[in-house]
Amino acid sequence: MFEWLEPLQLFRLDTALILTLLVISVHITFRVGIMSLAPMGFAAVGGYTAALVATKSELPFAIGLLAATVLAGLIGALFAPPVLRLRGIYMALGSLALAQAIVVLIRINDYTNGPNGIAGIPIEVRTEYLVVALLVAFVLLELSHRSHFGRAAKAVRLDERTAEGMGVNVFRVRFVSFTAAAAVAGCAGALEAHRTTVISPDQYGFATLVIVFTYVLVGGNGHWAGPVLVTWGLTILRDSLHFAGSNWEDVIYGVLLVVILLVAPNGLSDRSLYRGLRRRWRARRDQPAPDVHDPAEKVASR
Amino acid sequence: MTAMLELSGVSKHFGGMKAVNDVSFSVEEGAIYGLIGPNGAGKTTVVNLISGYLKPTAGRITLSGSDLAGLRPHRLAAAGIARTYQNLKLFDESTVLENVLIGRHLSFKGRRWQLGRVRRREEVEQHEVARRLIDRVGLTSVIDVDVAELSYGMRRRVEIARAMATEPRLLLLDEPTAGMNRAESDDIGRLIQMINDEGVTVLLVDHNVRLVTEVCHQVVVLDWGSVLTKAGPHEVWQDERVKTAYLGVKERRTAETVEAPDAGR
Repeated sequence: MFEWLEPLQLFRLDTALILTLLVISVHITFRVGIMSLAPMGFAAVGGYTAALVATKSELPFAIGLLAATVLAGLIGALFAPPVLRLRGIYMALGSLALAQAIVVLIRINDYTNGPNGIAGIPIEVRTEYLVVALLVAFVLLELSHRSHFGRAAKAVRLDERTAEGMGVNVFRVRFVSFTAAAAVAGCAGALEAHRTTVISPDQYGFATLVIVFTYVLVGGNGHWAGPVLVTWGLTILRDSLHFAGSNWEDVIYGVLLVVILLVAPNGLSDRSLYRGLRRRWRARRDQPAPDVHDPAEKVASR
Repeated sequence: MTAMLELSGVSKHFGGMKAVNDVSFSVEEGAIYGLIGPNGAGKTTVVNLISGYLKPTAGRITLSGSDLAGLRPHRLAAAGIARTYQNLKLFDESTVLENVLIGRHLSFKGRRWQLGRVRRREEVEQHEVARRLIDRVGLTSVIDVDVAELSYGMRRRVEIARAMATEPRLLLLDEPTAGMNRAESDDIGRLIQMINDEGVTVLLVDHNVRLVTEVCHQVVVLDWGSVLTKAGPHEVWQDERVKTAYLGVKERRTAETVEAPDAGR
């Protein structure tokens, strides 16, 4: 299906698609107002689970992927109660501490081969799988976006106290979201491990997280398509900027981000950005009949 | 008539500040009760205590006999208590319809695994209920507009529709006519009576003498965190203590000129 692409392009495409999964994971938490820095920890759980299943057992890739997703989700469910008690910057720090604890455990543990990581993970990931995984994720996201759970999630993000007063169980909404986000991150980690064949604890650090956060913030909380499209758009832009040389690449990229965030401080899928457009659309829909005053005025002016 | 909501010896202290001190009163089922008092008397604190946003330092609050102590707001909403907020708390980035649908959250029965047709039918039904509520508060023409774009009076109405969407037995209205002109507050008054006619018990917190006198069946007066008096809506203004609390001791001449129900803003 994607054979016509050059190997380098294919590699970049795969990278972007897996990054999209991480972006979705972060979006799921941001959607309910959770500022979690934990996704890389869950990606590490997923990556190492899949790697260990593949290298130390005869089980097929699918089992490893499933185990990675489920285990990351379970650890997410375990982390959720303490993290969700915190607010704002403390929540960010708390989640980061827990996630980095996972990475530290992996680094000092012989079973996970310490700081050297695991090599020789079989390549199992094909671009087609990633596309299918993302399509499934999109469908689920859209279903949840349109359901009462999606509305409750938005309400919790906008004003959790008021949402609570309307009967929304804020903790449950956040718990479900946090756990789902952990599972998605775990799945992304497992796919990444089966693509690059080598993983080490160091790759689950801040660098990737910052990129993912940028995409999610620029994309905005309004709709999942925002962060996803921003991920793809900026990835394509970055790759085409290679012509400009590495210094200019970063400058142009940085300037663009600043401009976007000045125009859309709450991200590109922020509703209030499109209020004017929607008003115009509504006006056109609500008044399809020709203007009655117009001919009368013309007559009068004659 | 039986008491639906009962507060007995309820206190809320913030450090040394006794915001609410040993307050006891009960609200009869099917009635409209007024809760009035000067600024800082503790009215909103009482509403926050009943709706679970604050936990009482002492005392008991019961709804139809069952204790509400320690229940989170979402549990109280499920128990049949809905409220509006003194400083409008709408979801500004959502449309009128979406705001009211949030109030329907508890009514969604669909299980997570029921996808497709079951879910869609339920969604359509809930939209229908929300539309009816919006129609009743007269906002059908702006149903798809973000509430951030609406006028103040309209926003108040959205809040009432959203509270009604939870199908409450008891509706707490925290200053629903604050900042409204006479015509607007009369509209709100009619709306409150309409809601009450459907069997919803109402506890109305407001400064608007006219509204309270015309709408309420019984009035509880708070001053400095304690119940000053309980009386009928017309008698309450004859009470010297109420006049003093509202208008101050030295303003006796002014106080005597105050005569409900013409004394409104």
